[in-house]
Amino acid sequence: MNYHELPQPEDLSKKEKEDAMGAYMMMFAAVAVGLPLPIINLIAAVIYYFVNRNVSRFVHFHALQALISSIPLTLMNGVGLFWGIRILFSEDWHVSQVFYGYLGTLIILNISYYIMGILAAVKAYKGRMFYYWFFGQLSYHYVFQVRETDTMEKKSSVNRPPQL
Amino acid sequence: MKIVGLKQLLILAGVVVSLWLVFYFVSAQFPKENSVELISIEQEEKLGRLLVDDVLLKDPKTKILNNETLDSAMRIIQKRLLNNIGPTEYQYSIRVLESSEINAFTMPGGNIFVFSGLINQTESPEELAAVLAHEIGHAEKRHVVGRLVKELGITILFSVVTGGDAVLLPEISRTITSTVFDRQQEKEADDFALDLLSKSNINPKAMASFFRKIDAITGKMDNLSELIATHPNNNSRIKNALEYKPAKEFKEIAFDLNWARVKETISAENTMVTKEE
Repeated sequence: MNYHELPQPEDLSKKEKEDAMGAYMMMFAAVAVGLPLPIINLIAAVIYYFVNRNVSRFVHFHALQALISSIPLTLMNGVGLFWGIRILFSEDWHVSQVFYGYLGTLIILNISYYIMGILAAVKAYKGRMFYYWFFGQLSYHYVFQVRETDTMEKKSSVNRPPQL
Repeated sequence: MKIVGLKQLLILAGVVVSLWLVFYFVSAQFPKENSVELISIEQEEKLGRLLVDDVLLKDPKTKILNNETLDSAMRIIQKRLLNNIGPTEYQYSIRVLESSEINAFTMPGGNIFVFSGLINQTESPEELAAVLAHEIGHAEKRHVVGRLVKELGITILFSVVTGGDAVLLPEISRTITSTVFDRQQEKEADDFALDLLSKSNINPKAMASFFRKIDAITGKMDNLSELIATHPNNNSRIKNALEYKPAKEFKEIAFDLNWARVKETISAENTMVTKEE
């Protein structure tokens, strides 16, 4: 499979770097609002992705990575929240070792996720790629792979440089 | 077709599952705050003695029913159940209280009380055995202490069992008789009772038949008894009892008791009502 060449820091404009960093910073801004409802982080990430994906492949990659990496964690946080509420308000649900295990896992995953978010934001601002485990590969594959439509665009391009 | 990132995805999933397992086992190492395990069986028995002797039996309204027929019947039922309970740390004491209420309750330390009103509603000794097995279940699963710890907190209970605050005893007694077990505890006690009935060669369906009767009475009675009020969702409990499959070697052995006669002695005018000192 062919992939587009990766942009290097010197090829990127300041705006691209800022937009790429913004994908991760968005998460921190949204977390303040979204803490009680984890889904708000996800909504923010989705909006950011659709607004910025056409800026450049570099920004597209970072926005996509920030978005898809937040999906499983948001779901897990949602399950944890639902679980906790059921324990508080339902007689049939009790705090158990399984719940404590889940809670501990959530705490570690969230902390790791925020640390990774800061690292990714800093790298993105410097115009560098930063790959999360799995989500990085997936985003790279989706954004940088050479598609048929890419070559068709080239073929159908009308404007060409003059022959000098 | 190669799936992008599959290897990393599997590793990530492995990390999440491992984290879960680590925290699962780590959480088991910490003694839980407000855990029943912090109150020993000896302390629970002491608390039970204090509650029964100093509060319940000293209450002028408390009347323990004693008559030869009833006592003998209770002994037979109790013996059958306790012989099959397996290893237990409690010295069970089962007594009948005179009251028209259809109720039974368990005090800490294996002290079980059945109201005469409940016995009057049973059609067979097996039905009473089912109720007793259920109450024994609450004791064995330590639900009573658990409820006290939840309602009053471990500190208050400690102060009582270590001999301090006797003034709190009436409050504890009230907590036991006025608060409810949750559904999971009721289910645990039911499951324990069904197993115990089966092991004791008593038909577990007796439990369903008694619940059904209680259900029928519920609508007609004004003084909705605690047994009903604290045992929500009777339908699922009846279903649970009916669907219970006893062990293959189960063989029903009916109690050789004249149950009508036992019930007569309860309602008879000449019942000796004494107050235990």
